[in-house]
Amino acid sequence: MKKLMTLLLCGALLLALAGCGGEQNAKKDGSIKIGGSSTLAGTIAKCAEDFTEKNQTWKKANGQLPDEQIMIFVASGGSGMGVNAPLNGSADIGMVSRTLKDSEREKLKEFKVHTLGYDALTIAVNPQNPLTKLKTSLTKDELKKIFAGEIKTWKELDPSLPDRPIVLAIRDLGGGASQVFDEAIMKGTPVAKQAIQLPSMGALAAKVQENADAIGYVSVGFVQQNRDKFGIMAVDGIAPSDENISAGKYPLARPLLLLVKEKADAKQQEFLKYVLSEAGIQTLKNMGFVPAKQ
Amino acid sequence: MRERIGSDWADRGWRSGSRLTVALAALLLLSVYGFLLQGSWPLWQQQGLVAIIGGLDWRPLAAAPQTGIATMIASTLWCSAGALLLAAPLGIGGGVFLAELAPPALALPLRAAVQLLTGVPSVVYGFIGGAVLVPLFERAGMASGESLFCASLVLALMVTPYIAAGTQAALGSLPDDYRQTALALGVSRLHLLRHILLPLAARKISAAVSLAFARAAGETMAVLMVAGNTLNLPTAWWDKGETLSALIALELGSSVVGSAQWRGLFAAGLLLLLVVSAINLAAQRLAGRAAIRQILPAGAAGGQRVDRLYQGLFWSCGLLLLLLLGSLFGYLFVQGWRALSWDFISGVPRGLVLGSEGGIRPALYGTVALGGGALLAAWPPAFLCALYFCEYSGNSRLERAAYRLLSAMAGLPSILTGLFGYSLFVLQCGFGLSLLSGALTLALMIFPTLLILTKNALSAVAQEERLAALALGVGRFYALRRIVLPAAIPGLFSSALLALGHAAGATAPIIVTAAVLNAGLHLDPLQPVMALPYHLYMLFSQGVALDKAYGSALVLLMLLLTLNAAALCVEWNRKKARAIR
Repeated sequence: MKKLMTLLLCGALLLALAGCGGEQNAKKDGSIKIGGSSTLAGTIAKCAEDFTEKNQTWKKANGQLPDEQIMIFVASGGSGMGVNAPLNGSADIGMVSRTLKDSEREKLKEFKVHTLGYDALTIAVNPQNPLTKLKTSLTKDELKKIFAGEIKTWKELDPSLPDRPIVLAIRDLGGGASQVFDEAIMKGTPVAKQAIQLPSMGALAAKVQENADAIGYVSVGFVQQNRDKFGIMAVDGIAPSDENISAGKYPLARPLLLLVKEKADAKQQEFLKYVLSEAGIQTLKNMGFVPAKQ
Repeated sequence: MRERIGSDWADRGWRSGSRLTVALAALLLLSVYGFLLQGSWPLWQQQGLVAIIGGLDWRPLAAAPQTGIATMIASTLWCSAGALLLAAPLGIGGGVFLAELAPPALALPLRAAVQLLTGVPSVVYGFIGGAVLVPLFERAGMASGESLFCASLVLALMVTPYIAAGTQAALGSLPDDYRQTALALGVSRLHLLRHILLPLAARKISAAVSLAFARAAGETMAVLMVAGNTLNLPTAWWDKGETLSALIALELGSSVVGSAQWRGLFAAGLLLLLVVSAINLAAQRLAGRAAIRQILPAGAAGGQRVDRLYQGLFWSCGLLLLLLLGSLFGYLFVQGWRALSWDFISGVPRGLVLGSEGGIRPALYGTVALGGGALLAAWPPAFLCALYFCEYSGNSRLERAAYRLLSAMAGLPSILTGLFGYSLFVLQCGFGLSLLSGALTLALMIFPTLLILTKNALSAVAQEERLAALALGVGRFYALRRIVLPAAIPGLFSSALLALGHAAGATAPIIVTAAVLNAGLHLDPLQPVMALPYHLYMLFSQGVALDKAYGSALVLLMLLLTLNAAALCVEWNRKKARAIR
């Protein structure tokens, strides 16, 4: 009976703990938590998995590190989370797929920003869309009108196109893509309220693949993985090719960033080294992104 | 011989211990309101009530932030009211069919099926909606398949079993005397049903419907995956929209603590909570009045034709319910079966996009750990509270209010529990994204349900046995330990199983507190985990490996159905044992 009593008391204590203030503070354990951009999350998760698979323990990765199991976790939640999570301590490393704002740089003084490579937002439509046979490029102005909801049907864009509503697929506010698109194309004009907000870049890509009337900004990575499932429009005649992206000519390019503490521990450094190594870059390439020139 | 069996000390200890737990739990749950209010307070002051509740623009990141959530409120109400419009007739009709009209050979398995269906997690409904219904609507010629209607449909599928089970339970709780008397007097079954049983059960049935409404309004995952999440004000059922809960789920993780966006999300949470509480309260009031009005005029016995019409109606409701849910899960089963293999269950996620190849073992581990942890944390306090209300409560007004408050929290939308858990455990306590944060958040979520179920299990033990013990001079605690608890064990066990299933299937609360894309097979309370419901959500939303998504959905479904089935078996055995005695 005493045992039961103790058990119950422990439970009550647990509940009391639930009401705890902020006394206990962040522990430092052996794991690495990475959070942020859903575009980059897949790549980094894959890197983490490969790295763990290859080495199993930290000691094997680097003889100077302790003989502990490697534990790297990747959470996906948008670039906003990538900036926030390392600041509020819910992650160690942040993933961001847009340029940082000045106000953010100010807050991130303790962090070093590593550019892994570049992504481009390609203007993608469904491959069955007759637009793909009519045009290969849209102007910035056309794009702005389409996404602001001024051009509502495909017919309004070009009289030879069907009289069907344009379905806009966008990322929610937490996504880096929505901000990149705003800066390059919309320039402050609000996106039409009818636009469907998708919770991740994968979901956005899937929407454009499935819906015959959809148009959206799909990360070039997702396009590379499924070439024939998208109809790609150039912007002002500039195609989202590797050369154009890395030369900075393509207007909708964005950097893929990792935010790592300046004084990151040896384990984080080791993993970062792997991500920036040949193997990591290859993963980034396989995912369809353009690696940064080292 | 001792004067009294069982010491007073233990009795008093238990009494004050359980009372303290009740007070703490009530405080904690009340603090959710305070917490949402506090989080959004500066925004209410800056922007004013009208600009937030009546505002049509949600641009919290603009230079001059606008945080109007009128469109989300409208979407929330529209799609949940629509869901109820579809689900209430079907659910009530089906429940009546199950309780009164179905032949016994059909009724028993059907009742079990409906009970089981209440354990299907919402992410599975969302997945079916997104993977099956949305493409179906698009093929039918809609520009895009997502719509409030689609969300209503998915929600209706989700809450219909609840309404049916509630209706059936309401009718089942009526004494058999009514039926026997009426039938002896030569009244037809349908007349009996329409003029005596239904009016008598109306109150409980309305309560079941209002609970379903609250559940629909607070639902996150099922809606998030099919409603389209647009920011426009819905003017038709076919329009798309973003509900309050979807807004919070989408933007919470990336909002800066203390920013206008953060406070806007808290304001949305507060409103959601108020809306859900108000629906519950209003519906229950109405229900009470309706019961009294309807029971008075019994009216003349209706013609046979009317009777037959009603009979046909109830039968078709029952069969339609069966057909709908059967085909839905049949489809899921067929699709998921193909992906299922031992490697899928025991492997780890692989592939260029993680999860597109390989298996789900870490996600299974994580789900079991989250559910188990939640149960471990929620059971002791829930048990103590139930004990207090069953054994020690003096039934004062304050105590009744406390019980009502605690049990009403069962209607707390799970995304709000998530919001609370994220702020408290992840940020404030510094547990970070971890198994511990997730389990504690889930514990908060299942606590009210567990309390109700545990209390029911305890109070199901015959009152006479208790009184007899007390009359013999046995202390309450001793009677509890020797008589009440042993008799209540099956009930306690089945309630724990149900709560475990509830926690293991939840998605919204763990998105921001515990779940990650990849994790090893080692579990550590301070590390995040993979979880099956979240894995399913990610696979679906990445759109890369639909076959694996079907497989994950099937495994999750089977896991939870097994838990519910076990609970059901225990419950039935107990009833049988009691009937024999």
